Amino acid sequence: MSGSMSPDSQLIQYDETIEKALNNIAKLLKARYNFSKRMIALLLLQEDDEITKMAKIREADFPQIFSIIQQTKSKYKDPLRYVITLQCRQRSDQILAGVITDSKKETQLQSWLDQISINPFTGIPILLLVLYFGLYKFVGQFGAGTLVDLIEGNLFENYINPWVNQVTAKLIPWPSIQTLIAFDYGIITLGLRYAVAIILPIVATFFLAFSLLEDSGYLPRLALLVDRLFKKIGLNGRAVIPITLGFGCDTMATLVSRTLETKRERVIATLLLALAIPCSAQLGVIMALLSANPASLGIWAGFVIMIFLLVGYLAAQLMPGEKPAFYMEMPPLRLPKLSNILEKTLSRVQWYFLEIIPFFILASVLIWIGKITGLFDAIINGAAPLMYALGLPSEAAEVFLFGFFRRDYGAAGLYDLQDSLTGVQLVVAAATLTLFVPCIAQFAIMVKERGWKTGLAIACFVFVIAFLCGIILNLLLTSLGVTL
Amino acid sequence: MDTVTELNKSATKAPSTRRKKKLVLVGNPNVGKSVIFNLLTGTYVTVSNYPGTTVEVARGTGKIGQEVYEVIDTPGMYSLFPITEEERVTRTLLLTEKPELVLHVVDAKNLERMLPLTLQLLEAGLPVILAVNMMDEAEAIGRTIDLDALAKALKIPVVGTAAAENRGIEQLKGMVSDYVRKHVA
Amino acid sequence: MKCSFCGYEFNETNTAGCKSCPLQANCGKIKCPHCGFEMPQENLLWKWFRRRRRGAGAGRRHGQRKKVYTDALPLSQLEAGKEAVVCYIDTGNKSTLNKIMALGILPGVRVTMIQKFPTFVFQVGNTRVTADEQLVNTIMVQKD
Repeated sequence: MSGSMSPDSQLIQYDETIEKALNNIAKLLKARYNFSKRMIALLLLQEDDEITKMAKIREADFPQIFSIIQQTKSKYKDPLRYVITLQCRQRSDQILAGVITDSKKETQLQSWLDQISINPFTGIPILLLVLYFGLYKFVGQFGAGTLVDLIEGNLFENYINPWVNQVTAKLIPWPSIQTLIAFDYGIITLGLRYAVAIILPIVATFFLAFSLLEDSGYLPRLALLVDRLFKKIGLNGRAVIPITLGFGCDTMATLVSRTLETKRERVIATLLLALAIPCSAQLGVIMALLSANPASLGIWAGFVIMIFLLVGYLAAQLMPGEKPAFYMEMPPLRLPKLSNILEKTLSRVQWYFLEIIPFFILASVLIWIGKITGLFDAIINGAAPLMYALGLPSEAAEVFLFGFFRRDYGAAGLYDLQDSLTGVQLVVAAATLTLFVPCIAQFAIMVKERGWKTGLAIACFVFVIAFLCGIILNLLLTSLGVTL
Repeated sequence: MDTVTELNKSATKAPSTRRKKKLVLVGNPNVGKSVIFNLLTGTYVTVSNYPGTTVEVARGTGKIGQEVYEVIDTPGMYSLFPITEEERVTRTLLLTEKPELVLHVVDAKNLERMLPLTLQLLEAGLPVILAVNMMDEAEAIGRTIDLDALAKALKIPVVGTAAAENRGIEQLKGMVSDYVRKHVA
Repeated sequence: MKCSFCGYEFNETNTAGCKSCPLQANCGKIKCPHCGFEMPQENLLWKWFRRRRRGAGAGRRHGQRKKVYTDALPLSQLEAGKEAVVCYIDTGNKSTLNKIMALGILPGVRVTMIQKFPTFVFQVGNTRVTADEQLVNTIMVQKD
């Protein structure tokens, strides 16, 4: 390493006590580090976990080093980290004293757009507008409506599926293998069709909208507006990032929830993501199903939001643990660069696809096995009473079973079933499916991130709550005589 | 992420194996690091999670002067004492990758807040060049910065840039080449 | 206030020292979060009297290494649009302290309050920061 500083011309001269401690510790350090011994000593004095752990293993004289640290600590009433940071800043200010000249006294950083985006009276309407146009209009109607119709309804239904069916029927003589590839549940006609025709347009439009929000600097503003509300459900403003991302893909969001500070927040976020945050694919299909009738959409949304807040509130009351402070830097709002947004969207969509295609194919194969062996019919028959309690026909069990494999897969199955259901049935099915267990991928990540016990507990909890809420909603709607 | 074992491993690795020279970009979030990264690298960029974490690290190659470098863009970092996973990853990277050059990118408007990290990097004995970015925005709020005086005080090369407008990038590249020629045998 | 035993300055509302105490508040005492010494809570009348006296005697107090801030207030009490200088930071909670330092908020730095609801927004140097009451309360400022 070519350190440009010679040891006798220190850039920062700390106070006498610290300098003495630094020298003494540096002398005791024998192992090789890629940082200077002085910096290692500084980090040890500030009780850096990682460096302390490393020194404990590598340094024979660690007990002596430890006692120097304790002695030095006892001489200050503030933590050494604070004392050292302050002295470093003072030195930095001293250097900058002759370097920076500010001509204007006042600096106005805030533009009017900035101002109205953080003021609660204008900010919340703006937030709702962003959600309405970004999520509902763009993702829900354009992505899940227009684009899905174009690719699904046109390309697959009219051209690809008939062609694949025909070719498969001609080339493969065994009917059981035929159904693995084509027809109602084939890898291509079902698995790939769902992935490319229904999920791709929805996910792509969502990630485009999310990248736009991210690059414009809007997310911190969103965080500050919801901080108070999120505190009530045991999270803080910072959690808007995983929660909003959950509307894109809950699996990705569960991964990102590890950036939350405490275990308590991570568990609550994982639970809420698994329960009440529909992913974009699911959201898109549900919107396409329900948007024909605004009342249905309203009941569905209101019910799911209510469950989200209620379960969050209860979790916050019941879960012990520290409540960390909320803080965020707020960059000015700026016009995002198109190339950056496209690049981000593309890399996210690519990530998503590499992650889901195997699951879709696997799900198709599993469904095929289930069909062939009759296991599937057994489960569907077994679930009939549950469907009955929800006021749904027994075919709906198939949709929920698909939901096990992927949530969006299930919702897409509902899409195929919509003509045979009444308005109330559709709302109940949509709400239950939204709350219902996470997809295989999300479940795997939950277990990986939170451990077996927590992951399984969350999955079981969600399963019970989803059907319980579905039954309650059905009872409520039918006894009130609601027709949709 | 088991940093300790990783650090132990790297300490025993022989440093003499021939490899591309490494240039690591560090700095706070929102200082235009990625823009500079894109200007220094070509199209061959790989973004991957740092082993065992969700933190993304972008690596690319770029020709600066006569030399081809591996350029690494790190997640935002406020100080060498990490409090977030992003900062931990960046520090581990600095501890293990043995970069030939560390380019500290700071926001000219917030130089007061960011210079302490430059001092820390220097105290760690790392080979640092300071890029004072967003000079255009600083000028817009009436701020002038005497870069020569700063370079003299820190005894390292300092360059003013406005990466979003592609200003100062050629000068930055020149400084990188000079520095590496002089300091890395 | 200042601990009469170890001289540590802290915010009276900081009850970090009382966490394990079953009496919590209303015991009429204040525990120093630094040394754990317990002091009786100040009588309002006495507080008023002391403040007046200190104001009068302020000129005589010099040659002290540690400045005494008589009219420091938590940043959360700074009105929107007003400017102040950070005079000290309550170092009782390490995780909060680390966050504050990461934002570059240290004694001597100027801050301007921009907005107080629903969450605090303030400017430090040329950066704007949003933070909640818990964090903002540990930053003590002095208006000039």
